[in-house]
Amino acid sequence: MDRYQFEDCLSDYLENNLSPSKRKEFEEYLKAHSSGEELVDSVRELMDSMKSMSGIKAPPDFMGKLQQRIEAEKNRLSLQSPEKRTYLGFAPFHLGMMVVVLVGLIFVGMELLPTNGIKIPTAQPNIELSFPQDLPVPVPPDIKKDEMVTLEQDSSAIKDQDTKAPFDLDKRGATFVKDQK
Amino acid sequence: MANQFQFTDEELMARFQSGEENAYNELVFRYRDRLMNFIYRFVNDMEQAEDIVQDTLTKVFTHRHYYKEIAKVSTWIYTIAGNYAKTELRKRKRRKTIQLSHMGKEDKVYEIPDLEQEPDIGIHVQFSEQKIQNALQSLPDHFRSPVILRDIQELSYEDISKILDVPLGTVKSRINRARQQLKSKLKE
Repeated sequence: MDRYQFEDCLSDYLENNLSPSKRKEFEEYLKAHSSGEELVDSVRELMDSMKSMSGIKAPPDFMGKLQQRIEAEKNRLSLQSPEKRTYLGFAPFHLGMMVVVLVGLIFVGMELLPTNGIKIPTAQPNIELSFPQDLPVPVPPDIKKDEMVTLEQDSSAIKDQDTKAPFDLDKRGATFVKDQK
Repeated sequence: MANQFQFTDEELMARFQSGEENAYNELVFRYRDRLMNFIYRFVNDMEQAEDIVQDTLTKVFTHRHYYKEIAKVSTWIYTIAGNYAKTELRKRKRRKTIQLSHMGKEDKVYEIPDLEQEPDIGIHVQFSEQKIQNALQSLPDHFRSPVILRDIQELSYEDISKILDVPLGTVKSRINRARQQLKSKLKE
């Protein structure tokens, strides 16, 4: 047994809660270490001193004060008794909170409404669609075969349009300011 | 009154819960001094101890229906008292911090001399009561309450464990360490 184990077992030893084998180890340590014996004696002395400390008693007016407190507590509880302080089955606080929330919701709802009022759709009128029967049916124009343009010809035409001539200042008749002088 | 001592605490509580206020008075007679002793040793102030015990017993009155017979009445009452005492100590610490933070440079901390004569601290000399009380105050709260409950109130480890809501092993080790710390403080 080392010093730490000895100190851990100190209270158990003093209160007779050690197993026989542990107790033997503890006593062997005590025989070998005089400081251990001194510690055991002083802690035992302390425990005895604490047990014999004079008891603190409640002052003589303790019961009177307690009765007053209890009476005050009873009055407070009777004032808060649920049968006197409920409205529609709700406590005043809860009812108040509900009213505040309800008013808030109504207010928010009013704010969300459009200012020019809501157009309420009326019943749908019976609309009958009628088409004129004698309209000419559009016929695609006839295209002759030699007028037709193949896809290759058409795309090359587009290509020609896209290729622009390089920008030539002389051809456009532009003159620089220095040349004018 | 004498025949009420036939009842256990739990029986008295049951009677009180069913509306018999005399049973409550009997419980108060049984516990007021024990609680005063416990709380005074813990907070070291008679007025505060009295207030805390009054609060505790008032709560026992108002919250009587919260008590369930799965626990001992003593455990329940000590738990309430211990919680009030801890709250009081926390308030006191907060007040102390505020006071210190308001202290100017010119303010000094005066040490109050211990007028009690230095006793001869031999191994077999009984430690003086006031010295023990002072040494108890120097212990951290989590050591102070179990050692008071064990060595002054003489409660069982199991009851202390329930009152403090701490595992039994922890209670034992805290009491062991508290005793050794107290011994060291008393020898200083």
